Amino acid sequence: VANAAFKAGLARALGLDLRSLGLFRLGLALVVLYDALARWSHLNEHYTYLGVLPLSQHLLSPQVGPSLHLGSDTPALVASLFALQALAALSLLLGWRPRQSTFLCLVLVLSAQYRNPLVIDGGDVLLRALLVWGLFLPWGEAFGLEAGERPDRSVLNVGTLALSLQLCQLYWYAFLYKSGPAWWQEGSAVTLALGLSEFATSTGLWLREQDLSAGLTRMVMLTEACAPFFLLCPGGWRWLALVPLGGLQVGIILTLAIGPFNPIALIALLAFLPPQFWNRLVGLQNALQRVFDRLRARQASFLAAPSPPSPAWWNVLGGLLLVLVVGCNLLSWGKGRAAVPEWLDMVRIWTGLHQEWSMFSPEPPRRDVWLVVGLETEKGTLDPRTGGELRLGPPDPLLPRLLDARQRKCLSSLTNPGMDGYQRLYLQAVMRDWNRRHPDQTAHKATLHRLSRDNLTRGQTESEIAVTVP
Amino acid sequence: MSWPELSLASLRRARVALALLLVVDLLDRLRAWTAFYTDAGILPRSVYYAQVDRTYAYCASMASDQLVGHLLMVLAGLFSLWTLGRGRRWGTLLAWLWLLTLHNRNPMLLDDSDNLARHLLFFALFLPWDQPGAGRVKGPATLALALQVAIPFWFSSHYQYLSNYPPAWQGAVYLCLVLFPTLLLFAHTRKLAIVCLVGFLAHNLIAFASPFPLVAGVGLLALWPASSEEEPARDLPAWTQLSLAAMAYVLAWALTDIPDSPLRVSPPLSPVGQLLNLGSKWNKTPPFPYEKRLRLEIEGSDGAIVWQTEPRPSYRWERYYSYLARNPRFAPAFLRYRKLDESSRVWIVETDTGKRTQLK
Repeated sequence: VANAAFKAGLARALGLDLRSLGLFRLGLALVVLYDALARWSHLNEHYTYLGVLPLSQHLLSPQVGPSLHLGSDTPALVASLFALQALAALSLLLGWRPRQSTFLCLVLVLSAQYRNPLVIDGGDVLLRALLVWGLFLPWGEAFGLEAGERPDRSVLNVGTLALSLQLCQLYWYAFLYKSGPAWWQEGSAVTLALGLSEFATSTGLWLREQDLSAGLTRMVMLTEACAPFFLLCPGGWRWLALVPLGGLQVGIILTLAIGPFNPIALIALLAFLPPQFWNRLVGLQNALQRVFDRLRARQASFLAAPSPPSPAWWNVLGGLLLVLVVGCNLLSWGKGRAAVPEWLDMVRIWTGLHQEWSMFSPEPPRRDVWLVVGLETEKGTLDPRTGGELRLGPPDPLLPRLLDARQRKCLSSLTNPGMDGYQRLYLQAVMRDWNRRHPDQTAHKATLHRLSRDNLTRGQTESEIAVTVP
Repeated sequence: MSWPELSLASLRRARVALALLLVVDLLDRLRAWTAFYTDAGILPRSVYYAQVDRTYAYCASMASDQLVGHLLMVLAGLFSLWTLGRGRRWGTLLAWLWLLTLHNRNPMLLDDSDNLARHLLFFALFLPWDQPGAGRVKGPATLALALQVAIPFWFSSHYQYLSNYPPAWQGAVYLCLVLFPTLLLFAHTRKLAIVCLVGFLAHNLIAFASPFPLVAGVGLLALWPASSEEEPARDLPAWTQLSLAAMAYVLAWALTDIPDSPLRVSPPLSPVGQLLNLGSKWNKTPPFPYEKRLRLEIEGSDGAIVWQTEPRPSYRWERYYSYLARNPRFAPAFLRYRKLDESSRVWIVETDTGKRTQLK
């Protein structure tokens, strides 16, 4: 009895509320659904033989990890895989067979990510890590078709522990990797980040003009270093993590269009909402419960056999994966991926747990580099994004709006060394797409221009031709 | 006209026999797995996507070329064939999906036995061959299965007639022993027909050492009538009528594939057929009228033979050499696999006549 009481007390103090986990599941399922639809919108461009990575070329180099999307690069079949991902996300959203749905989501999300490494960003890394830990979370116990009778309790298991440590690692390594003078001595890191044409929103550009960089830079460092400790604390203490970390993510969303990373990091914080939150917002809890109660009443026969509880070995597996992640992150810190033994690296690639939280590290780039495509047509050299005349001047402040996060990430990946072959494929894909959409104004030549300028002084723009096709 | 009636007991026996055959086939393929199914082999994935014209074929085993990926593929095969043999729920579907993936990964190795095994599994999806108990079933799917068993005999006969082989008197014997009995498969004298066909297949098995007679034998086993026919046959559910649509496609494809055939499969149907891999040719049933025993010779830049086919290549390698002779564009991939100079010349030599043809 004493043992049971101790466990219950420990769960109350350090565990996560089932309702918060349920809300976290709803949020993450919506992210997986959005991920499928967003990738679908660039189907040909990023995932088929019509795009930047046709499998006949892509498979000439070694692959990162396993991908079901390597089974075909025909648009209809790739679209089917994204449709399957959307269905799995809906199943997770409804909380039907939560563990199996999470597994299917994880497999398909990983598969899509490994298909095209050119468009992977931090959001993808975080999403797959959260889905892995979701396999060990009882997140179908509230707000779902298989919800239990008593969702108003806290649980502590290997999944909740792993989720807490995952978020702590995210922020702590982000802090530790930031070793450049822009973060420590100069305090100019925020200015540098907000100067990147690839990311800066209009709010970000406005903020850059205010003289707040030093203070904001220190605040980011302080938040990343200290706030995560409170995620490991009981009950109301967690607000000391949720408010600053949530504020940090909202601030970044408003000023930098990085992509899905920040919304996902914000959603991850939902899992840590303490019981007091639900006690005050009983209306929200009841409304969500009513939706699923109604669905459950209609689908009673469909749910004849609810999912069995996880077997003991499942939690052992979760524990091993947690040790793997913590160990590999420690090994690779400061030394890079090469420090991790090859077999361990392969295990974490196959499980989707390889991660490095080093964005803007050791400091944001001091040179703003961006790529622009010029298409030669009978009417002159055009910019395919706007359809207007190509300008090789300062970056367009509308860039984050002209292209979405994955398109920008793709372009940004092409600026890395050794990407000549991919740049050529990219140009061919852009030209093919343009000619399909503008049959009366076909392009016969495409050029990729590499432009750059100093990020702090925003001096003269330098331009060079990277690749030309045909 | 009524649907052919199939015995549940015969269907169960056929299911177990097919599972066993496929396990043996998998073990056989494992002997040359690196050569046949990896990027270091005769058909790397990049070459597949650049040169194999199968737009709508999906192959899950392309997902990884790492050791773990190949281990998973083999384990998935053993698991799915175990579920098939044990008559587990979803066993047939799993085994069919796995076989589809395996065959799609390297179409250069396939022959009629592979196609027939895959087709039998597909049509078995519409049949209750995992159900216990006695009795019989009838419906569109039983007709589809019986047609599928007969089709390779019909079409291979056509090809053999076209190629004027075997000689006329043997042709007459062939007609009596093979074509006529296949028609009887749809009549009440099915046992006699099956005995005749099994005799023919046994002859083929001894004479040509091909796995086709074994797989065709499994098909005939499924058609073996029930020992007692006291109870009336049970009707299959309405959804199994879909099997007839699939069978129409199989038949149409086989007809259109005959040389100079005026028939064509409608383009919208082609993607479906490719996805399900139901568009098979039936021209490689022993004794391979179009095929001669071949060997491969690689000639270095100094004119010396630097590599040639082993004296007795395995059956799968023979299939590959025969495919290569018809598709010389894959010769560079073979040179890379053997780690030979890509400027080498590749010759196909007919073993019987010594006739040499340069592939590259």
